[in-house]
Amino acid sequence: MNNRRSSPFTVNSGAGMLTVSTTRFGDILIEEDRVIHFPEGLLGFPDQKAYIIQQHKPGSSFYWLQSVDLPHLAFVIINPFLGEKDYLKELPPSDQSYFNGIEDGRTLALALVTIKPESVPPLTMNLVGPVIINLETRTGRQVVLSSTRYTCKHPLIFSQ
Amino acid sequence: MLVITRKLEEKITIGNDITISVLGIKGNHIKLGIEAPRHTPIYRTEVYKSIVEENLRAALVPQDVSLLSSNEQTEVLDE
Repeated sequence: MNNRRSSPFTVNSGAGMLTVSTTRFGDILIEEDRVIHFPEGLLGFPDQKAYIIQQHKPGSSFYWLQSVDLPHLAFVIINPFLGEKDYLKELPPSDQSYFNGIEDGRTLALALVTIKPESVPPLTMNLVGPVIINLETRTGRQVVLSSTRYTCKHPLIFSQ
Repeated sequence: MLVITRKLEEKITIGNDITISVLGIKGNHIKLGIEAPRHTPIYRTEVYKSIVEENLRAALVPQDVSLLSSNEQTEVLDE
């Protein structure tokens, strides 16, 4: 599966390392095998097929899904179960099947977070189009759930 | 746009491997059956559009992301 498009923003730094140029974080040196491939891209971003995941800050619940090819393209992501612990239980079996492997860590589910400081609440997460990553093949896709139980602007409020 | 009139139980074939059947008509509800290769994504258009639009909004992360720090101590993502 080594058909990754070369990009002016990535440099093969040898020894399986890759330098990813980013607008927000500067240059990130990362092991090549930590790149996650999205054969279909994300919806609306069909041409960006490779991303890396970086934690926002040590201890933070938030992570970044940073495009390898477009320095300015980075999404804030979160484990959807932190904001909605019954997420899976509320979905019909056909939707639940997308999450196969999550219980033993083979699959990672992520929700894209939208930040609108002027809105209430300012943080929402997309629970209709979760990103599902197969950690064994390092491939991901954004699925579209058939359930109408959730919206793509689910309020992200931490219960404390 | 190609416009085709179909009756109940009639079908349309698109390309070599996609078939759409009219399974039922009730008032203004039409039940369609779609046969397509397993990896062909099929979306309700309004849901697809809403996700594309939300992705575009999600990509506009403000420069100041201090909002992300307000819950730092509350939860930690299992790795």
